[in-house]
Amino acid sequence: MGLLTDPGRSDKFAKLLISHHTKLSVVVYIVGLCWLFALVDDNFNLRVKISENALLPGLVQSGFATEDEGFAKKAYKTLIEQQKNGNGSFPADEIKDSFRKIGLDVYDHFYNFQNRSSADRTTVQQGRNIYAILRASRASSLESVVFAVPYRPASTKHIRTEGGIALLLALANQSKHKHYWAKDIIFLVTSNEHFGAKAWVEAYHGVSQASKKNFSDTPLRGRGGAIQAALVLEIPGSDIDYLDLRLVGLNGQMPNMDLFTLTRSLFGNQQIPLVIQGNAKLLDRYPEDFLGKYLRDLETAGKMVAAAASGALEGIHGFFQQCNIQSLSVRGLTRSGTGGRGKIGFRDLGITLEGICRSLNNLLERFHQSYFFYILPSATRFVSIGLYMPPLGLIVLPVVLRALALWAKGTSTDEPDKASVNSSTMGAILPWLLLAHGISFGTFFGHVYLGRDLGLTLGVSTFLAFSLPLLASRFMSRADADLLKSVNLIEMAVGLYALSMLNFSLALVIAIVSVPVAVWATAVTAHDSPIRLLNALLLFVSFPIVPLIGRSVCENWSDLLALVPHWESVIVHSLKGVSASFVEYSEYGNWLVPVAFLFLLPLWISNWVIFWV
Amino acid sequence: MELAVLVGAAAAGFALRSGLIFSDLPKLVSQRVEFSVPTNSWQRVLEGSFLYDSGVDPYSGDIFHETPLCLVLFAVLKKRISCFGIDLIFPVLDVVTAFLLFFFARNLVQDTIVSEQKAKEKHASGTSKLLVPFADIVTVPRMVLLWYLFNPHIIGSCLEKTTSVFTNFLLAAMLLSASQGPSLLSRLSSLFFLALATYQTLYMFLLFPALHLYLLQNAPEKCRSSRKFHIARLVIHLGIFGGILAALVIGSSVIMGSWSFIRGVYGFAVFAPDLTPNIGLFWYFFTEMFEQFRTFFTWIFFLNICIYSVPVSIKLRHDPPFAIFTLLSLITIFKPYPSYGDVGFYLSLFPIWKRLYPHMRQSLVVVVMLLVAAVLFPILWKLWIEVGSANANFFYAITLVFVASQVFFVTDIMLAHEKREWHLMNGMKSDVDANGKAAELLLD
Repeated sequence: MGLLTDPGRSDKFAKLLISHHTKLSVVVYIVGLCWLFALVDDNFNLRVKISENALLPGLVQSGFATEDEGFAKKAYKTLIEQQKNGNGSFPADEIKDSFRKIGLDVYDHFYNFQNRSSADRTTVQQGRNIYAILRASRASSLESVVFAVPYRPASTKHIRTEGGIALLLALANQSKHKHYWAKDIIFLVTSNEHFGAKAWVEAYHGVSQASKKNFSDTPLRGRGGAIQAALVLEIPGSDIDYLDLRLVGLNGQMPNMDLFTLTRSLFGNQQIPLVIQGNAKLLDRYPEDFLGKYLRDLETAGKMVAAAASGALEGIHGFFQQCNIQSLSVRGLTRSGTGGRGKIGFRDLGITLEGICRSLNNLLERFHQSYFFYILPSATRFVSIGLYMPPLGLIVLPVVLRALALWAKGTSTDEPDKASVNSSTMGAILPWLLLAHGISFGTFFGHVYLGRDLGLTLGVSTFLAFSLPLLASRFMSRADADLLKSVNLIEMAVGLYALSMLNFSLALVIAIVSVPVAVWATAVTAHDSPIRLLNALLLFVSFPIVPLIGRSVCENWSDLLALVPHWESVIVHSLKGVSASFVEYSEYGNWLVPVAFLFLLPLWISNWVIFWV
Repeated sequence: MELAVLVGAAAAGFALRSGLIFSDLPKLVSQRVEFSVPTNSWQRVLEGSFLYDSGVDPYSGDIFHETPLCLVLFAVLKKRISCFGIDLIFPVLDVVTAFLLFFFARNLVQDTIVSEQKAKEKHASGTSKLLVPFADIVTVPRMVLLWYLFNPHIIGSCLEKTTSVFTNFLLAAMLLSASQGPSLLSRLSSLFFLALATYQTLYMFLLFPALHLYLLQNAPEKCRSSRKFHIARLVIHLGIFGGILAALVIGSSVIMGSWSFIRGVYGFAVFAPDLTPNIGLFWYFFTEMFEQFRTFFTWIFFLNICIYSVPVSIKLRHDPPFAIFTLLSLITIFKPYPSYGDVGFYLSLFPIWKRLYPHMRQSLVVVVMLLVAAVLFPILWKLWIEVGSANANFFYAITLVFVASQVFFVTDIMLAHEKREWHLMNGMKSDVDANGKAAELLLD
């Protein structure tokens, strides 16, 4: 019964904690950081491997021949012409016809959407997706595989995708008469970027759009089975230099690692250069020296962490992942020096895609063998959840230690008669907690659901948050502040650990920055010391709205400089990034904004209040 | 002033619930596994009532597990009042329950203070600080009321329209009538409500020993020493409880025209065939188990719930309400389909034993574990069921954290109770052992 009822040890532990927690916190934080950075090195991480035996990659003879390449090239040429003739509008009917000519079932999917980041944000527009289903010959339509291409007009800022559509047609044509398909193959062409893809995936899974008033989509008329995997192709044409695999989906979601390994190994078999997360340095020769190698891996891993932490959409594969479908995007890129004359053509890509499709066709169960939580420092090494969680635990540990130390200080006397002096109760700090959460919730709710102007809600909440200490200095005692600090730190630790399950990268980025700030800012310092000024500055910079604005300021630095004398437009411009984040939240559920406003802001407000007591 | 606070709190609690019940929130969080389990889900009540109306035996399928009386009651309500009215029953009943608990707390604190003041000369010197202060007569009931009205567990299960709301009402009524004094009426009504609660959710019969002792506590002093009196009372109480329960069950079979509800309600509660994940311990264990061991473990698990009833009642015979509290939490921990509604109910009773708080050592750990569980249940559910990247082990791990936090809580509060008793009898000063160190209280 020792664990719960032994009275002696917890007292000793509390005393130890109170006297040593600062030193311990510093050590733990530094050890955590070092450990984290060590994970990038090959000695501390693992080699990627295929865990699902059923995939059997590369064991089949390829059927994608020269005439299929010719078919793809022809399709590509026609597509470009149709694009020119149609003034850049989506040549849906033409693509539909091409699929029908091949002999597949082709269906339309009409959907409505509002583009809130464009000028006419309230108009409901209609979009159209095309999809064709190749019915499995060896099984009833219980499972399926998706090849998807987001159609983009010629004027797009992103990578063009006509090559991808041509490949879809060629693949469909080549595999039409094959007798070995056990899964339906769905060829999907979506339009309007994420709107179309999201609408299609939701319609496929019968997610009701009824709750959103303006979005009465037509139901899908043709369906295959449960989708096991989806491959998104963003291939501009037939002359590319290398491929870029994008794995990170919405909110740091990753596909099962088997899908990644499968794609990587099959592209590798075909001698196609491959990078991950757009790190073109992976194309260079492998560095010989330790440092060069380490830095390259660190950069790759860093790019992946940054992409996951921002939560933003990297490609339409994110929506498939949200519905339990393993999915990734393949981007075809050209090197800047070669002038758009890459060596990789439709033949290589076709052979690989056919191989991937044949492997997926072998799947007996859903992807479940390999890892779902991982970070890739290079295309062949990975850091799994079991490896990266302990360092995060250490990095957040100072918060826990400080909270426990403050708690122990408040309740250190064991005799009930002494405890009442110089102590506080939950009742006394409850109003402050409610206020801090109320202000944050009000800001978020006011803008997202009541549609109040962003500048107004941010302004009001900033004003309220910054003026709260005036109230606090009158009504809050030192003991209250200590207890509030402790509760605040506990909330922060719980929140960070919980967030690390959802989106490890975001939790990591927040933890690395905010743990020292929170622990440092809650240190007791004399009112006139210069450190206090530094504390105030640190707290001010960590105001959650500041980094959000800071991000957009950094991105549009040159635009802003040009506007400098007109301060009003500077403010509007710098808020653009924040409002874009809000749009990302309401359009496809990027959780960056909710995390900032519902988790970080209340913590910050409490810390700010405590600071001035 | 006091009245204004109470009415204000009740109005706020009611407005919060009825405001939320008609908002979009219930749709957003509908059928959360933390709140809705097969034995209390409102969806299943609707389904069962539809089957009943269409002339199909609702217990023949695997959906409906409410009692026949509940079914009939709902059928009557459905005819008499609108959908809107039925939605409103839940907030109203919650507020009524809160007031029942309020009066129960007041009675109990009064009784405790009276008996403690009476026994004062038996206590060691210098322990008067440990006694329940008179101010508690005002503050404790108010805290119980507020805790019940604004407990997120309770609010959530009200919004989900779980039938835990009814069970909690019955339990609160039982507690209040038991605390009303030695009159026959109070004994009768408390046994009646216990029988109803047992009829509604099987495991409540485990409260009988503790309730029996509680009812004895109010008996006149001189009778309590005679053995005859004790036996007579036990027989009478058992008879009343058993009689009412039997009447309810037989009445139900008359209403339904068959005994199939026994399997559907009580068989279901014992054998737990529905292994949908919930916040309890059963589902994972029984999904992992080989089928041939199922009967064996079903009975082991059933025994595990039942085994605490008598020992806890005997150990805490001097404080039967506390025994009821402990048993309620133990039943919630170990029963096959626990929900936040049950957890919230016993947590709301905690302020009554506020005096134990200074003796508790794990309160921080328990609160943090409860918080972690509350945050991680929905997250891991999403990762497992919707996104598919986590698996059952993740969710079960958090279930274990949740159950462990409750076990910590029960252990801690029982130990605190015993410690306080010991200090009352032996004084605050601890003895010095042979090595010159202060001796400490240990539980071995």
